[in-house]
Amino acid sequence: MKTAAKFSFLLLMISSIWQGFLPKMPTIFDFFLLAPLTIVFSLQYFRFKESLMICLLSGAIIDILSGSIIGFNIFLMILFVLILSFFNVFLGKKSQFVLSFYVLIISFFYRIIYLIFQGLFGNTYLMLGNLIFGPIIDSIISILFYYLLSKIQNIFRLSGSKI
Amino acid sequence: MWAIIERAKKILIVLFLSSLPLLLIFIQNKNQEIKFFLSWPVIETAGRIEQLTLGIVGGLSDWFFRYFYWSNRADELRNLRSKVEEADKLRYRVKDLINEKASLLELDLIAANNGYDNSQKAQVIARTGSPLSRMIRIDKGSRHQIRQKDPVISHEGIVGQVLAVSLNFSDVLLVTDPSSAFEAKLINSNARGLCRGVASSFKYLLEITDIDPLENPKIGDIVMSSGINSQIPFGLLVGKVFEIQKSDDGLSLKAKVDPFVKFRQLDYVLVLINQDPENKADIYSSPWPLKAK
Repeated sequence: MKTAAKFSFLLLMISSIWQGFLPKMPTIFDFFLLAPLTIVFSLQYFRFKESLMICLLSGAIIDILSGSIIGFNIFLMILFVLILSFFNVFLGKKSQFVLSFYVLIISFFYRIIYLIFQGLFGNTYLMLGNLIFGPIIDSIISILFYYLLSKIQNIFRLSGSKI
Repeated sequence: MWAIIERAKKILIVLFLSSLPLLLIFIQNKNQEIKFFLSWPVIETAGRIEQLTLGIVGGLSDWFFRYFYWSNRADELRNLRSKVEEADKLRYRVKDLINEKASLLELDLIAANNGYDNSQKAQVIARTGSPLSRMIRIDKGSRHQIRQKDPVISHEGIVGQVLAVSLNFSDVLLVTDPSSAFEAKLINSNARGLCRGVASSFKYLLEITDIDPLENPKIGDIVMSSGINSQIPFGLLVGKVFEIQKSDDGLSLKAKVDPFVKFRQLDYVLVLINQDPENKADIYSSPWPLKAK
């Protein structure tokens, strides 16, 4: 729980800083979604239970920051963590490039499922750019994101990590 | 077996944990205020961090903007300003040259109209003699047949008399110098008097003394040279009366005259050569078309 709380707080800081930068950046960066990055990072560097806790707390933060109903992203992230944990793709150390590739794929599927759920329970704003550019932006930013997060994690000495 | 149990455990944990977000969604659908209550700390923290980030980013981007964009624009502005200044200078220079040409042409016209065949156009090259006297130096001398006491005029009126001559240059004593004196006449009232310069640091002034009070001079009367007892010919405009006073002894009047010639802006003058009073052909000739021949 402590690890998840620390990690979630770091995530809140980094995403706030990112949102602070956004007004000065091109609008294409508005397609960025934090959830796929969080899923990949937590599955790669944390144990299963910690990943679930991270999904709970970080999902809530992502919900609040994105303005959607609290619980939406939490549920989706838990679902994805469960499904991905059945595969062995996150075993062993991987390079940043490979991880960013995972982010690209997960981000694509995450956005589709997000749109389906949004369509089922509310209004859907279908933007093609969201499905095409979104995953690309996510994978590019993930490289910097993971670098920052791993450095900050070392400073805060997050236990329970596989790093 | 253990793997199945492990997976089952995972699914159970997930099912349990997934119930929390579903519960949250259900509660929020019933009561919207729960969402505000839960999101307040996150938004507050995120807001502070975003404010700080924006401040830093804004400051950096302003610095870059100032350094790269403004400095270029400032250079461009400076270049444009210098070009505008240059253009203004050229414009004033052209205006100056036009005025110079006009005054030179008028001098030619004066010389032609009044039969000043022996006249020499000269450029004023210096103002000399100050503070004790009012003089100018011209770029013509004895080589150009200029002699002492030759009268010097401009297109506006009388300037003075040649005081000293060298081979290529001459000194001209202005009429506004206190040591200058010549006979003058007031056109309207026909009064006569001696026109002298007035010593003043800030103005070029003349004064006519020994005016007969019976002639009844008035303010605004035009003053011209009378041509009597002087190499200065008759009819050269001097100035306008702006003040009349009684003399110290009370027997005559004295009038203060504002000269027509702008001595501060004098560039070209005409030297009337060989203006011996005995050689004057027509003492009633005037440079002005008011008194046509």
